[in-house]
Amino acid sequence: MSRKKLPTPISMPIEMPDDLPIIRDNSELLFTPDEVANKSSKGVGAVVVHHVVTFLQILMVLALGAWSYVTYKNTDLFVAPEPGQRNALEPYLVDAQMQRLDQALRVYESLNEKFPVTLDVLVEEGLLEPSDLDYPASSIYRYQRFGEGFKLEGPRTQTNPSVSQEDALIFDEQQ
Amino acid sequence: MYLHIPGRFSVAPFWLTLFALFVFSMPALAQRDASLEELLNHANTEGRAVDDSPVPKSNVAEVNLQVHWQLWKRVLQKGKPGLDELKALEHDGRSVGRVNQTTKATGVMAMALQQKDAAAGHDMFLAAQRLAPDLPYPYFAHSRYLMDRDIAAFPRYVAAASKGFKVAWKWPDTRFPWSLKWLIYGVLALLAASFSFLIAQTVRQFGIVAYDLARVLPKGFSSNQTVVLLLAVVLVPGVLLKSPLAVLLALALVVSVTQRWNERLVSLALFALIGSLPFVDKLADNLASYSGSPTQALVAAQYVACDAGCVEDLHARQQAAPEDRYILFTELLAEFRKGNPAGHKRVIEEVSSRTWPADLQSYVENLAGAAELALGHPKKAILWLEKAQTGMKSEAAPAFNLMRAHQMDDDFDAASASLSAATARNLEQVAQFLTYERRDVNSFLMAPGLPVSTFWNYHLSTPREQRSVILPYWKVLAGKDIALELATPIGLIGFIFVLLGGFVRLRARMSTPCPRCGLARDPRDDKTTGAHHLCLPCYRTFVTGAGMDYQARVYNERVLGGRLRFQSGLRRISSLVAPGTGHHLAGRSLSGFAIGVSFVLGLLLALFPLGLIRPASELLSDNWGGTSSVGWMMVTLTCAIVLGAVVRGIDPVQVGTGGRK
Repeated sequence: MSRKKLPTPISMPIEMPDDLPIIRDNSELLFTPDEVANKSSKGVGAVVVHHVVTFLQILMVLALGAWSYVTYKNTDLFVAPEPGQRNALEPYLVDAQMQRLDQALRVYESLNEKFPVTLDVLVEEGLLEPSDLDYPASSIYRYQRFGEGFKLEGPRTQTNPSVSQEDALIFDEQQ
Repeated sequence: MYLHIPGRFSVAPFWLTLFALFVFSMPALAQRDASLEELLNHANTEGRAVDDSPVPKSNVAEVNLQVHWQLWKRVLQKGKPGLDELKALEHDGRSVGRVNQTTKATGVMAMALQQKDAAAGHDMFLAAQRLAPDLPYPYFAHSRYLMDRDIAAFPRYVAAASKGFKVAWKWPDTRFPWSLKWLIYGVLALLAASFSFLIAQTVRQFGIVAYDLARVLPKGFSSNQTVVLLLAVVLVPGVLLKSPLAVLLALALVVSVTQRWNERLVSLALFALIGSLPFVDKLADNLASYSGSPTQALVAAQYVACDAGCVEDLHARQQAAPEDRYILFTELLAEFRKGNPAGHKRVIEEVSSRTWPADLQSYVENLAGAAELALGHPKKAILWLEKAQTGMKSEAAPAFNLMRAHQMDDDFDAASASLSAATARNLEQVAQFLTYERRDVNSFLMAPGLPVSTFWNYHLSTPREQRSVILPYWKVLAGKDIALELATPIGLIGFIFVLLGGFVRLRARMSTPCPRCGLARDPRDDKTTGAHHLCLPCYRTFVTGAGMDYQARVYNERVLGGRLRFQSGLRRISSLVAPGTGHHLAGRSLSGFAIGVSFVLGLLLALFPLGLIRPASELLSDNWGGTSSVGWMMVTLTCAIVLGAVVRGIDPVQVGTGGRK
């Protein structure tokens, strides 16, 4: 087997030996070996150990592969959390967000003497961030202005799948 | 009237703020307001006759507040700040027991932000702060306003921001959501940085561990077999337990064997983080569940106002839980603030006849003392207040009320001493109370709500459904067979393993990655290389190369040079993909970890500055306290460091056996 000529620092073509060893062995070939423990025994025992280990490892890989196939053939290793479980804190976030919307509505009312027509007005006025109207996770808040008050309904959550009249935040200044 | 908030927080001024926060912390810059001194000199502790009759209830009607507010808006439309109207609103509000007028203060703040006249805007912010002294946002907004208009006046805006942070720390509605935000973001940043560390360590250390393992295994094990064996050690537990996390942790343990101490510290942090996850989960639940909780209702009753509906609600709760002293205290506080003599008598009776928890004791004593004063019994009040003063070491209230008691008792020397004690505890609060020249229970006497630590403990003791924010994600990563509760023992075992592994490495038996080629540098070669930091082939090629056969040297230079360029390129590219990874590959793990954490944390703060729980009063901006600005600063700084490192190259650490360079 012939080896390609390699460029050298002084661009001189040099014939390379055909059987270049790996780097560590290279030093041992070209230099007088150091006094290091030479583990590459050529004894029969080592050869037997080597082949036995190879055999066992092949068995292990096959067994593991077969076991994995049987175990995982119908399952995904990374199972995404169910939609309702992604954020266990969601009810708290919704509570807090309802308070935030309520406070923004009251600040708006205190300055403008009336509640806004829609919640979007609060965003336009800079009181809320655009993301506040659908936080957390695409929640929808239903807002209705009436007389001198308002009714604010929070989104359905996992623990609160149906929003009842009692869950709505109703504020009526006349009361 | 339209709100149009001019500009958001700009990033640049916050560079100055950060610096200024350090400067401000120096005592040399502490200032005393001359007007406060003057006010204190007129506190009437020097012998003028004092009315010693019972302190009456407020004669202000709620409708007065609306009148002042409407008047203020009209004056504002005429282009004036309306400070007199705001002052009247503040005094009337205080008189009827509205401790913090949060809605009105936010409204004033919104209008003040639009003020073009800097002096008027400044005064309006001060008015907003007085309307809601416990709300941090008027202080932050004031700081931002000053910064936008006069960048050079940084002591003033830093003072305002600093005060805002102090107030935020004491205001539960801000402190708990902010704590949750930093907790969750911090954990996410640490996990992301740990993952990048683990990937880089696998590239850097796995081959070294395999090399060392091959040395200790019986003769006959080849290098390839050792690698397969090591892979089995990493993969099999995870596959059997159906747990990707088990694979990652086994990998972290395997690669930790040959780590240096700086890398080992990051591994220790990783296992400590895993071990702390159950506590983090519980803390996150406690912090998040504050919102809408009975505790929050108590905070609102004590620190905002307690109207008829609130009193009714408190009464109902007290009936349902007669042993709950915290509800009772809140009810008594509301009773006291109404100012009726019958209510004061009930306060004294309830305080005297019941036993109170230690963290409430001083507060109820102060309340009883204030009630005695309101009934015109200064001598009895002094007994209560002196006891309260011993327990409430950081509150001005008992000393201030004691001053009132001594005044009513015509003991002006003692009154003067009490005033000094009160101002030493909280100068601003005392000064604010001295401006209330009315003689009603809420303006004349101090009856503060409970501190935030008490509310926190109360919240923890309140039974409620536990929710886990981590568990759904833990199940995905760790599998169904490993419960979240096992995270602590797993983390502990990993921590101990990594720690003990460090002492094995101290004995210089482990190989290290060669800084030039990345292959194993065998400590047994130390005799030949003089414990040089390079591996033997690199040492012979690049250090003592002159003695080598020419062909071998050329060959080695080519192969090892290629490895060197590959290592360098890998560090640069990985740093661009995931900041900090290049530093991990170079063995500079502490820097890499800091870069990774800073980048991810900065990104989270910059993109989601409001956090998980968005506080109700945190309106008008998403950058209160400079959260988003700090986030962008962290990202910018991290990117600058990473790009600098990518351009310049990240030099690998060069340490030989036993730390010798």
